Amino acid sequence: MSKPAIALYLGESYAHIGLYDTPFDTSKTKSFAAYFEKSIFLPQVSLKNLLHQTQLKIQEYFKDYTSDVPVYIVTKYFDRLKQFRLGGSISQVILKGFENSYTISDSRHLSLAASQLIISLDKSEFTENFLELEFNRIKKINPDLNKVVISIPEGHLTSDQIELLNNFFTTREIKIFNCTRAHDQAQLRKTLLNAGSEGIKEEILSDIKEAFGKNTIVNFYCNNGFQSVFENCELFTSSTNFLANFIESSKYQHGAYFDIESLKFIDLTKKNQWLGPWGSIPLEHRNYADLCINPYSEVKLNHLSILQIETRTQQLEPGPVVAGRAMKLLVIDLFYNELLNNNLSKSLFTQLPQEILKSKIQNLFSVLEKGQKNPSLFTFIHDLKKNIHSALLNEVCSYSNSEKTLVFGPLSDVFIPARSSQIFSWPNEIIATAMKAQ
Amino acid sequence: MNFLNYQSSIKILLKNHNSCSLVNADGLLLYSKDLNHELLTTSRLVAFQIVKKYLSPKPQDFFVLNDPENGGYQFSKLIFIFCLNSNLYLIWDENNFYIDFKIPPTPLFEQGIKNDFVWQALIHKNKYSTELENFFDFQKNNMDRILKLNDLLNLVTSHKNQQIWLSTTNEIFSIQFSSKAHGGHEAQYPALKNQLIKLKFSAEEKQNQKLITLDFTHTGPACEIHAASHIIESVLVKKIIDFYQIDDFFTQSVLDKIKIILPPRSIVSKSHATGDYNLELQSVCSQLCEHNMKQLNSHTRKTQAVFEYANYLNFELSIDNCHTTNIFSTLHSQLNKFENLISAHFITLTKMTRIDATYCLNFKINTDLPAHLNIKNNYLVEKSTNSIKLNDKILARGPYDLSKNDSVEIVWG
Repeated sequence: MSKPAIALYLGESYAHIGLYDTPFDTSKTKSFAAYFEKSIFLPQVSLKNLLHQTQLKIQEYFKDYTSDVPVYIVTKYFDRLKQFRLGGSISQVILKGFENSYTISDSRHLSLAASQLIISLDKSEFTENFLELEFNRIKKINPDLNKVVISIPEGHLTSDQIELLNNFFTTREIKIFNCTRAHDQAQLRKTLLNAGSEGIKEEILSDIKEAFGKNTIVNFYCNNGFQSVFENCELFTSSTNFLANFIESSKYQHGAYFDIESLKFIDLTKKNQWLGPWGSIPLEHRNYADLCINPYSEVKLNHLSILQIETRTQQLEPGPVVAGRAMKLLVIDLFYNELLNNNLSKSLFTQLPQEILKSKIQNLFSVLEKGQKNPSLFTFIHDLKKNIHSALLNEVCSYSNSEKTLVFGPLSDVFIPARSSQIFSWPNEIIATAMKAQ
Repeated sequence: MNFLNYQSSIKILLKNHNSCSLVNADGLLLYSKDLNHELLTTSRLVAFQIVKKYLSPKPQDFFVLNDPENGGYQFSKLIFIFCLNSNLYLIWDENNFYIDFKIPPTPLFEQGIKNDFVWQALIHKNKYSTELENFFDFQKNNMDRILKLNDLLNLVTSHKNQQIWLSTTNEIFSIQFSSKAHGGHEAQYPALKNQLIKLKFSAEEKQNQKLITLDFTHTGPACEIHAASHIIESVLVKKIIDFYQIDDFFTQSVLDKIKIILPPRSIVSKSHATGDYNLELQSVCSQLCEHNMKQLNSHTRKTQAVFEYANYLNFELSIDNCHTTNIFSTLHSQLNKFENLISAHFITLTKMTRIDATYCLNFKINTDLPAHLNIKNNYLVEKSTNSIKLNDKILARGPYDLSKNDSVEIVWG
């Protein structure tokens, strides 16, 4: 009996969904035709909208199907959090004398919890009354507080005190995240990150369940394949782990991946520690590196009036000029002509073929070009584009160390035209991997 | 060739190095970056000149040195020199705490062939031979990776491209030099009682010649505390390129515009046998230089602005094979590999807090393995509560052996 299944790639700035009929024989077919496939640019179309459209297609193609539809997700969406301090709605229960301990190893990293929301426990003073007073204090600071990280070393509290602590928060509908090794600062950071990214995961799950039913089983790609039970921090390496799996199944040792929102070099080496903007966290993942250029980096004149690609920040909102609304030129806008022939960009940026958009981009680049004050430091826009092509090609060569590299990704034809690339479609690869594992 | 293309090519070649310099056969600096806490630009250049003068490097020759009295920084800071081709040399530095002895300029590879005698003496006879072999192999593998990037190497090596690049960076320096105030300012700091470090900064344009001068005249003679001139120069040039926002365009063209006057055998020019005071004196000179530049460029300039030194605490803690380097400053804390000591149960934390800008770190030694604490700088300041204590006794600069159950308390804020 045929059964629908959904494959969703949820990136930072775009989502790509496919609706499939399962099961199919993965030993006989390598590529699968989706009944319905669509990609959206998230700053312009909501995920909810895309899921709703998919639900309508399920009703159209699978009229007699009444059970819940399995959803398989690979995500990069959590990278959106990387620019921020987290923990605005998280309290921490820790021993007195260990406040903000996880930040001391390198205080330059972003924080994972608000200092004002800490409840410091002294074993001798620990009573329900004390908890009540402290809870009221932090609730005044943030009435929306809904999560708590409990990090008390083993043996410091009696089992009755631990039960009291857990009951206290459970009865107040505060979600508890326990850090089992309290003095292990990396473990504490991991627990805080799990708590800090809970909200965004819940939002995604709620959108999916609203569209496909509350019993929908949602499987995220983690280190060991698609899982419905996982730690939130595993979602930070979901997409790179999936890409590494694709490279491995294509019989390569490493690959260069080119997308609208990221350019990466990925190899099959496993790493135990993940270094995020909040510090080092114990998380097994495949090794990867961002290439020197990000498609969402701004192209601008720097303090020397030299054309420069800003490397620090990514402009996800409102996105590139090719998306229609933005006025700041991003790297991807340099490749306007190439994007006209690219399938993913054509479906994401619907205004792309419009003459008015073409003139807008030309005008903006012309302004940048003319803004360069010093003739001897002048760079033509087409030279900048050539530099990007050669820099990316050289960087891929520098990583691959003369071994063969798999070049793939929806924008490989745009960013690295000199190299032949393997066809890659997110929904097709997601569903193939999910079915293979069954 | 566009200068941006040249710059991006260098960056790709050197992406695996945090602290390195690229020079051509004439010894002209083509690029330099210093992302570590210790700054070594001119130290690396001195090391290169020593190797060039005495060992006449040929392509794929690979040298190492660490002697603080001859171009080095400290024993654990290894400076490598690799001849990429006849017109391109890469010099970089890496920490290795298994090395606690002097290494004069020594060829590890000669024209790509391993020098077995040196490896036998330097590595295989060492207690940590496996770790050291992996470390040196890793350095060589990085060079092999660069050697395979022919197109990039050819572009960076080309004499014509180098000239374009040097002339571009010269122009960029001129633009930035003109955008800052001209004139002079001076400040001083007592490194010890009656032992002043005096620094006068001046930025002047005379007969179309733009020149930045850093003059240490009247700085006290070396006695207890001192560091080699290249150590001090490294930190000053870094401060200048950061202040003038030309760190991506730092070449010989910029270096030629910086004149540093250091009285011979003074605190800031006499090398130290083990380089113990390098980081401390780099910190003082860096702050003096920054103070002068800020004062000179300040719109609300005070004629008698007093220089105030922002102190810090730098200590090393090593237990068995685990070596940690730790810094507490007014701006941040950075405990490199300290968490490894906790997870290995070598230490037990009794307090670890950061409240506002005050740090408290207390721990007990939890092992019989050899444990050593080395306080690297004079962090003690009058009227300050900042301290590092061993079993309730305040410690000054210097090495200390630790035993099981010893208690260490640090307060910094």
